[in-house]
Amino acid sequence: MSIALLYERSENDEAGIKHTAQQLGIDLNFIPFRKIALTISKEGFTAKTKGKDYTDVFNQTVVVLNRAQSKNRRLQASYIMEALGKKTLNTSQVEFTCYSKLRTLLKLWKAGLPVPKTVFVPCDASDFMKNHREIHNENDIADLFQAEIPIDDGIVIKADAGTHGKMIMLSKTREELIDNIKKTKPNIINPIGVVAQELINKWFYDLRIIVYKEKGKQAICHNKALARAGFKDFRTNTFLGNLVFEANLPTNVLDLAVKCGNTLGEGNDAWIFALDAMVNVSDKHVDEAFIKAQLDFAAQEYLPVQKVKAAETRLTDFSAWNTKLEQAFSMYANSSSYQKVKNVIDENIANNRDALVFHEANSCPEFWENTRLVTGLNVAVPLLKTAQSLID
Amino acid sequence: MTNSTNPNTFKAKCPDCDAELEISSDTEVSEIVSCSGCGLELEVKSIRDGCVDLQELTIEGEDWGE
Ligand SMILES: Nc1ncnc2c1ncn2[C@@H]1O[C@H](COP(=O)(O)OP(=O)(O)O)[C@@H](O)[C@H]1O
Ligand SMILES: [Mg+2]
Ligand SMILES: [Zn+2]
Repeated sequence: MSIALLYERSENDEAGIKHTAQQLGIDLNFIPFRKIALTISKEGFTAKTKGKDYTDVFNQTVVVLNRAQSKNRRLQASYIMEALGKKTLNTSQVEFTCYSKLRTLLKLWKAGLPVPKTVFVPCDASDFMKNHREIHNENDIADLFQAEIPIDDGIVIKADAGTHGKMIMLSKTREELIDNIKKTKPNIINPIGVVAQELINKWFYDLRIIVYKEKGKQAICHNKALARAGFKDFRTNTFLGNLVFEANLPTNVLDLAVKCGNTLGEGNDAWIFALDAMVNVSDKHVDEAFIKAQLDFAAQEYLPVQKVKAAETRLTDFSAWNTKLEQAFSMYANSSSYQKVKNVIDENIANNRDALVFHEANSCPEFWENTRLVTGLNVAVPLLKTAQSLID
Repeated sequence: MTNSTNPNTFKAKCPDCDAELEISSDTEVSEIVSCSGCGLELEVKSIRDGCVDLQELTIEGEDWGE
């Protein structure tokens, strides 16, 4: 009776899950999903790579922690594993919702939860007729967006199934809008149509909030969030070079996040999400020049953390590498510039506690390098505990 | 990284699933081999005195995301 970690490539998060499982005394099976051929036939099923038969591993598995990095493979993995009688974390239903930002927003909106004003136009920027003639829809799509969101306020176009800020584009003029609509062709991260959103005046940070539910228990929202901050790009993803800070969440925000979790996870015994949220800031209560200066100082303090992150020892001795990472991070978090920026963010959230919007739910969040160090929550723990709760 | 006994193959370990791999001794550095255990693609980083150092390829698929 066991839990299997399904993954494609073992990255820090997966190594972190293995490491945490060892500490918790939980045995894990491993399913390197990418090149395991699944065969279904009247004899049953087999699961094999060229050199190894994983059928027994599959058979022994009760719960699958689905960490396939590709969103599409993750979705297929969840359906496959459920068809084979396994419990999955997250379930195929949850994966299906989170795959699409639009589907996520629809569920949250329907439950009365705050989301950015969003416009979806189902057609694509251009279509090809049978005679190969191209029809352009960019102008119509732009008109439809502008009828709902003033271009002067900024219109954000998003790839519906994108990630890491990919294909998230801000337009402030009609020309930019047309250009950005053109770029949003159907592709693997934007299967169909065009999604646009009002630009949330989130100042210089957004939030990543962890909520989870074990079977038979109430949902929990961790009371610290990961704030990703910087003025470089309106997209605050850490991937784009932004810095990370801990943020305290007021109780009303914790309640809202739990509601988001319960809404997206409805009908499922257990689930885990990293919710992305923004604060629509009405009062910029601190001088921006001060924040920019502190962010520059903090960026210097962060350099040693980046150095450890890039070190190859991660691959040879994860545990020792991790200790170094934690030490470097704690130096950064104790620096005065970090504390100053953190204070601004904490105050700003408290002042605008009723102005939060939720814009995305991540079903397979990265956590080892940022969320865990910043918020003190090792997401591997709730992941493993939640998986255990599914074993009857 | 293990010393080889068979002169025609080098022994190596998959950094991901720990499977023992036999790498042909005419393999060149930077060649891509795949692990028979987990199927991952591995890049030959160095070959020194019959020791083969393998590293996972850092591919990042178009739809890889949280
Ligand atoms: N409507 C918006 N208004 C302002 N900023 C936005 C908006 N939508 C996204 N962003 C910024 O872009 C980042 C990435 O957007 P998100 O929808 O979370 O997609 P991804 O899947 O790429 O993380 C967010 O973290 C936020 O900083
Ligand atoms: Mg996001
Ligand atoms: Zn392997």
